[in-house]
Formats: sequence, structure tokens, C-alpha cells
Amino acid sequence: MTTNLDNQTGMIFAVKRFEVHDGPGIRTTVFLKGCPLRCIWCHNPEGLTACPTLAFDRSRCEMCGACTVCAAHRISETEHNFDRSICAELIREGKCMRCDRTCAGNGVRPALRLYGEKTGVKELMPLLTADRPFFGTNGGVTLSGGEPLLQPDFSIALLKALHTEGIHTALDTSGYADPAVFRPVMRHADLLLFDVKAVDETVHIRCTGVSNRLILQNLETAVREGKAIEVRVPVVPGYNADELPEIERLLASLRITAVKKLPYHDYARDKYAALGLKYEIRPNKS
Amino acid sequence: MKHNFYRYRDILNNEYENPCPECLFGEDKKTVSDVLNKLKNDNPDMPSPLLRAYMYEYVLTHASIEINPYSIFAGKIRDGVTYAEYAHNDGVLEQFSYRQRIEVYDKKLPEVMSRKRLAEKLGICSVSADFWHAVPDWEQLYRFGLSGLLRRAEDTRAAKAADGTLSEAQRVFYDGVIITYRAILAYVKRLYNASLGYNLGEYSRCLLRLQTEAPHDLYEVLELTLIFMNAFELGCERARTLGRIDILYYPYYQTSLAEGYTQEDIRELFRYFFTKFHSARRFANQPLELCGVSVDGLAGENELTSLILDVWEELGNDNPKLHIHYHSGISDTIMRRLLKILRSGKSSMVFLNDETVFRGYEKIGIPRHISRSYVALGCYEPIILGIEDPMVGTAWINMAKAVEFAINGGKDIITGENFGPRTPEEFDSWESFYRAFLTQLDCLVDFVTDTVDQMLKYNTEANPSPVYSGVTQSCIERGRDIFDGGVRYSNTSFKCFSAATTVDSLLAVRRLVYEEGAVTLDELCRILQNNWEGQESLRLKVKNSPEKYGCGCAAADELARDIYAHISKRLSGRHNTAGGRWRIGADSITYNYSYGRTTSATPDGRLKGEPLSKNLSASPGMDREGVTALILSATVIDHTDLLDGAVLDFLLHPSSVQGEEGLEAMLKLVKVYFARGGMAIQGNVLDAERLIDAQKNPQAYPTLQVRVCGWNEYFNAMSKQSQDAFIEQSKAL
Repeated sequence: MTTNLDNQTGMIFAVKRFEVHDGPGIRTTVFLKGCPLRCIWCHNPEGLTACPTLAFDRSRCEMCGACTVCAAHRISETEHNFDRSICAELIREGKCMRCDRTCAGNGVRPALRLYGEKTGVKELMPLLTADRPFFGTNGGVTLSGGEPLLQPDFSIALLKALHTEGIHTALDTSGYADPAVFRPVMRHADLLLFDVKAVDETVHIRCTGVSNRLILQNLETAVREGKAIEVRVPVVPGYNADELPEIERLLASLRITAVKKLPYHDYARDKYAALGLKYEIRPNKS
Repeated sequence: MKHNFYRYRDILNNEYENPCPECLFGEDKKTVSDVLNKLKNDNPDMPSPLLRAYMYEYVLTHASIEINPYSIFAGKIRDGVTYAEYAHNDGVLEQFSYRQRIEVYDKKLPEVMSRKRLAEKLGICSVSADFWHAVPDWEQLYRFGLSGLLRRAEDTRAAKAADGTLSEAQRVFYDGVIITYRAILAYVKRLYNASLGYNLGEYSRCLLRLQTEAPHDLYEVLELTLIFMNAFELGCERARTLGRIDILYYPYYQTSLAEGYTQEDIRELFRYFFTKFHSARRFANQPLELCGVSVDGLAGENELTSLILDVWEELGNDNPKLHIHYHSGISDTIMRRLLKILRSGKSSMVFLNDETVFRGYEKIGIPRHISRSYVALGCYEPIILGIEDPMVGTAWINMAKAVEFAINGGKDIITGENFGPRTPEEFDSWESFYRAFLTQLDCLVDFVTDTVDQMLKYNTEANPSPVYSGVTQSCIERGRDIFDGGVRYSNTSFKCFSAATTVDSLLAVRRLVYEEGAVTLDELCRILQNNWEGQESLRLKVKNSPEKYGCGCAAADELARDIYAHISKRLSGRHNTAGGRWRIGADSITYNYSYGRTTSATPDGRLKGEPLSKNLSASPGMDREGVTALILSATVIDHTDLLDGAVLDFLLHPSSVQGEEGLEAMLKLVKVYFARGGMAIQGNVLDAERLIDAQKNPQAYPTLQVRVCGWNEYFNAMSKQSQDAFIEQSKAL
């Protein structure tokens, strides 16, 4: 790992201020791009891939025709058409024409948005510290995503820089990473916001696409090291709701008492449409 | 005490809209109007204060009164119109007062009036001496009662006559007050006599006592308040706050408890009392004030504060509204409670920062041991009762017009009419353009101050106020009307609004014309004249610019600060023709809509007719960095320069502030805003889906209310334009 913190760069897709549910107090949350999980209920689909992804919100498009077009993006009289695979290829090859930069949207928000921007710690710090007056004694900055553990160097650099500024840090993570990656990142955060979605491995794979063995192993490591932990349990009827008793037993055995259940919501539905993704989840009403 | 409020709540909620015709006693509107006209025509040489007093006398002793047998505060006065019509400026005496003022100004100040009308037409401002925003010195009313106030006026007049110091002007003044207060007592007697036919028990006994004594318990205080407001508001004056009632009513509350009232009895009194204002559909809501510090500097909250909040929350109405005096010692418990209520949708409240108000008063020479007892009348404008009359709303200046005039050589872009000085139509640098903007802004400020200064000379002729003056101790001591030097500080105030539109427009000019060279100033002028037609791409590019106020853009925030500092410096040390100081504020009320309709397209990408920016908010849709950035931006401005009211509106999505942590976050927002010197803050917690549904299915949302400006409105009663504006803002969250 590099030691030059200021020059450390990474890929993020958002910075949100006044986040009240990403750790204690008022927080600024920086969302790192890329995630190894594919949770069916994911409400940040724009953060799933490691490389930038284009979103188009039709409701904000005035069909002004100002945006650039390319092999992946065509405009007819009444609509925009995207070939997502060509778009991804152009981005990977560094040939993206950045139609989002020419989008005027509805004058309030652009219709086109490219999620995923390479940035450095030095560039980010002014924005991350701007709300310091509101942090008080328990607020601060949370690293989330996506999955911060996919960018361990960048995550550590950010956490260190924030500590230098005296700002409380939280790491919001799925815990899905090799322990050799998990441990150093975890050690630099003041608070771990650790997702536990299922204890049964089959259920976990069905809901997230990956096994939970590494996740549970890393959780135990964090407990052993005396880390401050808040476990977050997304509760999705018909998918993992039946796992709740087992999750509670597990957390009790680990003596983890700070637990937050996150009820399912479909606020992210429109994001899927904007990204050209299908919103697969059909949660039970119960 | 019988508790019948909820049994009769539906009737009480509508008692002003649905008067009881068989309960009316007295003359109708037309008869009263004819008599007042005759009074005026038969007495062309009568001094204005006496003529006004005789008009009050006639209305109070002859206009119809109504008894509502379902209410414990049973009486109201009408001069033939419902109270709801009063609120819409249709009272007979009120109409007289408006006509009289216009007559006086048209006769004495024809050129001033002509320029005033031009300013209104061009969407610059509406300017007038402000007699509307008024507050009786409630403490004096309760201490002396009506008979005591009358005696004070009579005794003072007699004493001055006896020692030969009574001038003719003073004689006229005292006689006006005495005639009026005798008439108010006669009105109380009329109510009493009418009430005897209804077996109203304690109500009648109360009216009997109030004819000769000061109120002694809470019921009498509340009854006297309503009676006095009826008389006070017959003209154009409005009692624009009930005052700091947790402190003011506390000794009477204790007396009531000692006399056997239970806590539940007290709550019942407040249910009836508050519902009066709800049923009257009080325009811009009726303020009552809580918390703050007492004159001794101690925390003002007491058990009555909690009880009042209990009833207010229980009723869930938009009227009355709460003015909460925030101070360093206010308890977090009460703040959390208030914010929880606000979050639930009962948002008819504003928080005021005592410290900023005190420092604002210090800047105009009033020390804090005097300003400590201030109340906030109207929306959030401080006034020190009995000592200051600040005429809080003489004008609302649309600062964006100064940008327009700077672009177009002093001329209105739509009509081509010249209002401001002729400044050049091209500038070789941004700095010289900005200086031209300041020149135009100075012209608008001077126009307001000159106009008001001229009008002040005719206050007594235009609007003598015997009711208001009679309750103010220093007026009686001095023998002068409250609007004619009756109080120590005859200050005058006006607002300068549309800050965000102005700043965003100035920075757009800088960028487009002087940095990028995308257009010349002349080309920009023509683009604005054509309402951006054919320039949609450029317009949207400007709208998407990051240089906007309210997002943490230092250039924008500092420009807003500098503009207000410039105006404040211009007025610093200046006195009005009454010897008082000038105060400025930054709020817009709803002029951001009405003047938006008559303001041309602006360089920030706003189309002609679209709303201007509101209060200290970012331009519509431009608060892209959220509420924390908005607070940080708004507090770059020095709010101690904005003593006449500066409020920040927040809009939060329910999901962002749910739970206990959400409440703590809201509390933190307020605390940081005030720690950074913010003056006042209010807001909404709304989600767009609910508003959209309410627009489609209004019957399902009868109590949904929104904080519009310095008051609340029921969503269903708002215009579609206003509803759409809230929906668009909420969608952007």
C-alpha cells in the first residue's frame, strides 16, 4: 500500500451531506464505487460496478438536444436511446464523450448523470469537512458505497486524512473481503457499520449472490479486536425476514447490542429505470 | 367549569364564516357606512384625531354585535361584515382609514404618489407608512383594564390643563383617546346587555367586571384580549401578536388556579381562545410567543409554556402560530418537543434567535436590557412594546430590479420606462457594472426612505390611532399619537428581498459577459427582453452554473453579504423625519410571487413571471447541496444588519429526519444556524408524493398545512401555482 495519502485516488459516485442514518449525529457520507455483492434489494444500484455508469432520468429531460451523442447514445425526435454495453465499453476504453457534461436537464437537475468519478483525497477533503460545524461530538464522515473494501488504499487514506482533521469516521461495509484487506481498513475507522443479511449461507447467496462465510469471519474479527460496531440488518419480507431470529442469536452470541433493522423501501426503484436495469425484487407485503 | 369545547367544536371552528343572524344586535354595514360618511362630510374642519374618534365611537356603539351562545368568549363586533371580510380589508372603518390616507397623500404628496405607483407597476416595491403592523402593549391593558386606561387619559389631560401645559394638539389627542375608550366601554356594556338574554353565566359576569376593573384572572385576561382586539382592529391596525403569553399570563394563570380552576379547566379556556383565531381565518395567522428571557434575564419558560403547547398541538390548526424565542438557556427538551411537532406537519411556527435580535438592536443604539422584552410581530419582526414603533413593513424592495436597471441603463426591461438614474448601457469591466448595480440599488433604497420620510409628516392626518395610543403609556405621558412621536423610538423599516435571484443574476452577468464573453451586455438585455426565447440552451447552462447562492459557493454567499452590508452602511446613522432609525430586513412574504409576475426574465435563467427567490432561500431548485450548505451560506450574511426580519426556510424529506436521530439532527441544524448568528428559521418536512396525492385528492388531506412564508396555509386552500412550487421543491429533495 502506498503511503502518500494526499495523492491517493479512488472512484466515488456521490457525496451526500446531512445524512442522519449513516452513523451517529449529522454525517457526510462518501459513496465508493463498486461492490462485490449483488443484493436483490440494493438501493444504490448506481454504485454496483467499479467503472462509471450512465443514468438517464427522462422526467428531467427537456429534449433540448444540447447533449452529445455517440455510438452508445442516440436521440430521436421524442426520446433518447442507449446501448448500455457499448456505453460501458467506451467508458472502459476512455472514449466516453461525457454527454452528461452537456446536459442542461430541466435547469434544476440534469437528466443525464455519469455515476463514477475518479477523485483524490486532497480534492475531496474540503467537501467532506464543510459540515464540520454540524458534526459536534458524535457526527462525522461515513465511508459507504458500493463497498469501500474494494478500494482499501483509498479508504485508508480518507480515514487517516479525516482523523488528522479530528473528524469521527464510520465505515459502512458488507464485510465481504479477504481478512487481509478487511482488517487494516477496519482498524482506521472509529465505528463499523456492518451489514448482516442472513446467517444461512443458502439464503445469503440467494439474496446477495455471495457466500457469507468471509463476512461472518470478519465480523468475529472486529468483535475480537473490540471494535465499536453497529450491525445493520436490512429486513426484506420474502427474502431474509425469516432469518431474523438466527441473526439475533448470532449477534447475542457475539455480544453485539447495537443493532439497527433497516426496513425495506422502494425509493430506489426509479434509479434502476434510469440505469437501464430491471427492478427484480418483489417483497412480500407481510 | 363545564367542558363543552369538543361538543361544539364544529360550530366554533366556523363561527365567523357562519354568523348567527338571530344573534345580531345593531346596525348593518350600509347604515354604519352612511353615518361615517355624513360625519366626515358634515365636519370638514374637524381635526383628524377627533373625527377618527367619533367614527370609532359610532361603530362601537351602533354597529351590529353578535353573541355566540356556544362560546365562552361570546361576543364580537361587526360593522355589518363578517370577520373573515375584516381580514380581507373590508371593514367599514378600515375602508375609511385607507381612503383617508390616500386622500391625504394624493393631496399633500402628489409627485411622491405618482412615483410610488410607478414603482408598484414596475414590480420594484410597494411603499407606504405602515399602520397595519401594530401591537397593543398588552401588559398595560391587563394592568389597568379599559376603565383604568380611560382614567389615565382623563387624569393626564386634566393635570396638563390644570398646570397650563396642555397644547391644542394635545387636547385634541387626549379628547380622541377619551372618546374612543368611553366608546369601547360602551361596547362592552352592549355585549353584556345582549348576553343577558342567553344565560351565559360567567361570561356576563366577566363583562360586568371588565367595565370597571382590570382583569384579575386568566379568563378575564383572555376575554379582554378578544374584546380589545375587536376594537383595536376596526381601523387598519392589526394586533400582530398576542405577546409573550407564557410570561404575560402567568400571574393570572396562578390566580385562576388559586380560585379553583383545574389544569383541565385552563386547557379548556385555551381551546376556546385559540379557536377564535382559527375560526376568524386570521390572515397570515395570529402569532403568540413563547420562551425567551424575562426582563430579568432569566429563562421565560414555565409550566404555562407546556400547557399552551399541549393545547396548541392538540388542536393542530394553522392559527394561532408560534413565535419561539430561542436563547442560550432554552431547554433541549422543549426544543425537541417543538421540532417533533413541526416534523409531524404542524409547522405553524418560527424560531427566533434572541441573541441576534439583541445585537441588532444594539447596532441602532438600543441596549439589551431594553430589547430583552421584545416581541416579534407579524411574521418575525422585533418590536419593543411601549417604547418602539418600527413600522416594520413600509416597503418590500425587489433587489433584482436593480440588476435589471443596471443592464438597461436605468430603464425597465419590459416597459422601457425609466425609474433609476441613467447609468451606462455598456461597461468595460464587471467591477464597473457592479458599481452601476449598487447605484441603482441605492436609488431604490433612497426612494423608499424619501417616500416614507415624506409620508411620516402626515401620520396624524392620515391615520390617527386613538385605540393604539391609549394603551401606550408614553403616548399618554407625551400627549402624542403613537405614530406621531408618542414613543421613544419612532423607527421605520423596510425589506430588501430576492437576494438569491439578485446574486445569481449578478454572477451570471459576470460569467457570461465578462469572463466567457458568451454575450455582450446589450445582447443579454435583448435576450431578457425576449424572455430567453430561442436561447433555451444558454438559459439552462446558466441555470446549471455552480455559482449560486445557497450551495456553499463563496463568491455567491459573500456577494449576498456585501449587498446587505452596503445597504446597512448606507442607512447607518441616518434618521427618519420622526427622529427614529432605519431598520432593514430580508424576508419576502409572498412578493416573490407577485413581483415575479411583473419582473422580466433575469440573467440567472429565470423566466418572466416565475417566482423570485424567497426569504434567505436559494433560488427555486438551486439549493443543490442540501440544508447544511444552505445554513452555512445564509449565515455568511450578517443578520444583525437585518433587524427587521431575516428568516431561513428549510425543506426536509421525512425519511431524512425520522426517528430520534432525525429529531436530534433537526435540533443540531437550528443550534448551528443560531450559533452562527442566524436570526430566524422555519420550515417544512414534506414529501412530494404526499403533496401530489393531496393535489389530486384534496378531500383526503383536510388538515395538511405548509409553512408558506411567515405563516401557514392549508395545502388545499393554496393556489395551484403555490402547490406546484412546493411539489417541485419537494421532488428535488
